Amino acid sequence: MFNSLKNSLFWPTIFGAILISLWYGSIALFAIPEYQLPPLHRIAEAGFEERNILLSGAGQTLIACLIGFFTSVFGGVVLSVLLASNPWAYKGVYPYILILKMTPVIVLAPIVILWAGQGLVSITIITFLICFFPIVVNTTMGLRSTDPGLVDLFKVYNGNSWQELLWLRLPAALPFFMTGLRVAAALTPIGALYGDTVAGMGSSDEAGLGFVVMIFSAQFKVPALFAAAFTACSIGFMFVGLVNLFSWWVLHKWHDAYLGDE
Amino acid sequence: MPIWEMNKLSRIKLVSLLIAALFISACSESEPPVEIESDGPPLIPVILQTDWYAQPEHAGFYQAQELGFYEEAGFDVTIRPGANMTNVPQMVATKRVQFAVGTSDNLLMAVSRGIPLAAVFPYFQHDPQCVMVHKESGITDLKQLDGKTVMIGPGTGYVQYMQKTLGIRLQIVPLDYSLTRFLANKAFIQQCFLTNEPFYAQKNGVNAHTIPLSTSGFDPYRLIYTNGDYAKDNPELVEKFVEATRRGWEDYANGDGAAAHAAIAALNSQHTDESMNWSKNAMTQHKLIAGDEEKGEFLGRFDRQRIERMISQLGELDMLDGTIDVDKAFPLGFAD
Repeated sequence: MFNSLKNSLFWPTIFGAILISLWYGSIALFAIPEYQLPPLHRIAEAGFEERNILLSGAGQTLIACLIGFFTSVFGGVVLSVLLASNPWAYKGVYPYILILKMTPVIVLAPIVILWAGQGLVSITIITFLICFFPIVVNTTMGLRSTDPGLVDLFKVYNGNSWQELLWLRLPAALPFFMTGLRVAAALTPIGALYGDTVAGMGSSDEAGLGFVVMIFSAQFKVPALFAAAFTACSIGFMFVGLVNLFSWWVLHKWHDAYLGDE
Repeated sequence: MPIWEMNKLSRIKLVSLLIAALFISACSESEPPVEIESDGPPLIPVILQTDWYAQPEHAGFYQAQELGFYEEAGFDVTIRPGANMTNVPQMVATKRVQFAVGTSDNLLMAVSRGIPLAAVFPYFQHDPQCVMVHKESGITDLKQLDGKTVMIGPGTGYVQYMQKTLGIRLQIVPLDYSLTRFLANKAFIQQCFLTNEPFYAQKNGVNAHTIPLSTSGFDPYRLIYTNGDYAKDNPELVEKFVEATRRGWEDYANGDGAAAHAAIAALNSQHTDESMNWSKNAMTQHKLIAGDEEKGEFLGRFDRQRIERMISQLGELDMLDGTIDVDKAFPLGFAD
């Protein structure tokens, strides 16, 4: 096990070292000033100096991510069940979901704010709009892809459609749902951060990361800006990591994708 | 024929051609057009980067351009509008543009962070930033904004200063550069220019009241600035440009500004004669361009005391990153 851990760390480390040398190399070679591309140690310094505002910003953004994510999941699953339960519902409603998906969130955001006001509600709605589609698409596909042989088996044992949904379709759709979940997890930080820049609210020390980025930008604090970007990135990683962990926990005992690894 | 049926040499040629085309299109930053005058020396191409779409708050520049003051001074000026751009100081620092529009507080902040900028001419003695409220809200003083939701630029000098000096806390909402929420909600408060948004608010039937942000004691200049090295190496060029700009603003302030208004309306259909004349009157009413004569202010004057006060105010707010060489940042000196 440690061998494979070593292996999976080795190449990223090598590549990381190359990237760092490229970073410092280009700064030296092209005499890039700090306000264009700060050296990594300056970014770390700035990150440390601004750690309070970065941590509180990260916390606020994480809360927005979580609320937005769980709302998307809940709403997405409910929507998928509704769509999958009736072929006519599917044919009728799905095109409108597509239209909603195709309208860029940047265009929808001002409308959302106009109706829902400033603050967490709007940020959650914006995050929902960005995340719900992968969940709906994948879960619906999963619900509709149940092995027809098993569906017949249920009918043979006189299962009603509720039992079929609960004990057959939903568990069978779990792997598809997990895929959608992972995609949504990657999109959630984007939604929360973008939502912050339009629907965010607060005095400087209650701000989410998107807001913090705007403040640093207004004050020309370029190393701090980079530090905020890295913080946002790590939130994204944490989020996706958590969801991947959850996905592993639910599926690893029985799904081929996980069993095959051993 | 399709690329996979070509022979190797033709494929290499095609791909290199495509890459070259890509490089050429990427590299051609729109350089200002070089115009060769048939009579007299060639005009020096110069880009003046503004901070919004064409508007009467930039009228002096358009006046100077339309009436040929820049040409007389030997410049072919391109006035480039630019909305919501956050990297203008960097553009000036890397000499992608020669001059840009800004405010003295942001300039001083940038200079303190090592960005080599030099302020050359204040075209407004006072920044027209203000907050706009509905008269019905009863708010007449900045202190009353405590705890209220205000749409204003987060982290900016005047916000930080206002909160610290007046001991208030604002619930800040990011700017969306529109009036929709203000018009829809009587309790809504937003940042705007004394010379612009109130006109449109009144037009839409709202009884708007403005409070200049300078009443907090934070009173930046609105100015044009250039690259510090450019100013050091070409002082006569910079002075000539500034002189032509001053003529433009003087002409605009003392006349009817028709030439500038025509140019602005042609570039930005949002502005009509009615709105631009209203703006011009607001500039006069609030003594923006030439300032307060009684305080010794006049068009184009940098007061060293005001600059040093701004530096200490910014220092109190922890927004500076080191000391500022005032004479280097203001190479044309301080007129008295």
